[in-house]
Amino acid sequence: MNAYNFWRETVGIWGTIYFAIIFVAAVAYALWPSKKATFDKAAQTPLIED
Amino acid sequence: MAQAIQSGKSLRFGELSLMVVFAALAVFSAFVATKAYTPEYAFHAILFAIGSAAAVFGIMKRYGVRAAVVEQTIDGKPNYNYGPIKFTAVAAMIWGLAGFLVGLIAALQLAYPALNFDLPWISFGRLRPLHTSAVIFAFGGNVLLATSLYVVQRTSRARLAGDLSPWYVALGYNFFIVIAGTGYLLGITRSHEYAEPEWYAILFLVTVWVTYLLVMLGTLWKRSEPHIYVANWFYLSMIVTIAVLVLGNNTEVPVSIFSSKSYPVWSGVQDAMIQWWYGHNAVGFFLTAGFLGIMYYFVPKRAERPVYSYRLSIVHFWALIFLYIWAGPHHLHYTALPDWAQTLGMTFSVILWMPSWGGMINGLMTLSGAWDKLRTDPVLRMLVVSVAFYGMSTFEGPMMAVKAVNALSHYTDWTIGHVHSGALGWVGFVSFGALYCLIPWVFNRKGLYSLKLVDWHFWVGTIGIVFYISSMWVAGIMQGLMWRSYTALGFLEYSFVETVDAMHPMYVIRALGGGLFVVGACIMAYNIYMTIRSPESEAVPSGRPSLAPAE
Repeated sequence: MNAYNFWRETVGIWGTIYFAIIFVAAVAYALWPSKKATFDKAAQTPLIED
Repeated sequence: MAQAIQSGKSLRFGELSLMVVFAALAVFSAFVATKAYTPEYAFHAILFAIGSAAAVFGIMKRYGVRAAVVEQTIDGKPNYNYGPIKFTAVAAMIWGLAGFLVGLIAALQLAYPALNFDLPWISFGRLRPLHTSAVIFAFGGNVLLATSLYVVQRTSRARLAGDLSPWYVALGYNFFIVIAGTGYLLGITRSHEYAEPEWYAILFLVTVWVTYLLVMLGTLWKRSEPHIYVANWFYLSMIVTIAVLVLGNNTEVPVSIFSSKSYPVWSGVQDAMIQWWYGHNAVGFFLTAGFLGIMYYFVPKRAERPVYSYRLSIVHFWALIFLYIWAGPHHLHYTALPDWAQTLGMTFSVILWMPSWGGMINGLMTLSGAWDKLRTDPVLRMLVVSVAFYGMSTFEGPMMAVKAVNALSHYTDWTIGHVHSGALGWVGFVSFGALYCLIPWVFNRKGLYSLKLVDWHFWVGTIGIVFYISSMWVAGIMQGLMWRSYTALGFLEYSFVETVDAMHPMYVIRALGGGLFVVGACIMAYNIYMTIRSPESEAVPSGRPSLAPAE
């Protein structure tokens, strides 16, 4: 196996798994039930006048 | 106590060191100008010398008039810094007019080649990069600077970080634009699409861009809101990614410090892949992520409703930045690029359709319960139509990235039509909407000079876009079909010039559409000018008593 194929396959497989895990974590963070209050408050940020 | 501080005004370290740096740069640039290989490069070196000297005088002059201490808050409210925002907002309007006008001239040159006038400086080949850079980097870039510096302050409830640095970002960025634009007309170019500026302009831009990142991060650091609002995430991803892209695509070796010419380190297909990794993410992060930051602040603000789903905005953000970065290879279908890389680019482009539409739905549904405002507020209508154009072009894009479709569409004017439905419809309209909101806010005016004129701008601009994109669909698909049609004997049915001749009517219609878009922008410029000329809003902030004349 030459260097090109090695890197192409390693990055292709492990890169995909790595990014998929981070993405699932981001979605879990977004949908976590206890975060609802935080996000509802954050959504109001542009509307508050000081 | 306050008096003591007032009298004790002294030069800050930042002011002093920046003056030293600029003075050194002025001397160095003047030296380079004397030894430059070409007069064009000498001209740029002189511009750098003049700009640096002007910066030294500017800092000195500012020191004379500035207050000894910059208050972070006034009466318990953040003392927002609007100076650089005013500058970049007005610069965006001026560059926008110039960029749209150059685009119109280029469109007319395609329809009537005699308009090249046989002059090298205004030939299509030089005007085209001037047009693309003027609208993307000069107009779009200044809109991003103005809105991001505003949004980060307002959603953090903190004054902008830095004293001179926001001005270095605003003025430095526009100086870079001048160097880049004059370079194209004089024939200085790297010949990489959307990455034409040469090494010295890029080196300078990197210093500006890193300062921009630090100003944004510094402001977020000082924030008094616990949560970083999602618009800031989009802006930050834009800044970080553009830095990485520009450094990656400008890995090059200058011929000499006295020459504008440089050579990229990679060549052939590697260079092509890096270029389109850069090129597509310039679209993805500069023209999409940055302007989505605008959408997530200005649409809720103007509609006076919170964003439809904050959770969807987080998923939208992560999905978009994960996927966009892989889509570049679809610019190189059926080339020497390895097949797997082409397929990867195609696949990610198709998946990208989902977060794009998630974001579009999030923007449009923010209006739920407030749809009636579309009838009365043309600024909100402009913002909402821009999101609709975003949805349309982010469906068209993935479709064109499919290899079988690309076999027909690639190198044809369909691509030009697609780009302009995104650029005029999405980026243009969302920028216009944001500027219509922003300028009265930062100049402290009650409102716009005329909403009626905004209405005219909206309709003239929209009709112009429709002419533009529909003529390019017809021209592009016809061109693609003519290129691939064979006679019964297996010969090509049409010569190249026959396709050019067949597209002439569509080119005229395109120029008409572009002309209407320019007219719309002129209406806007007049409206903005009259808004800034109108008297300041008199409303005295509550809790601050007005001073009696005797004091």
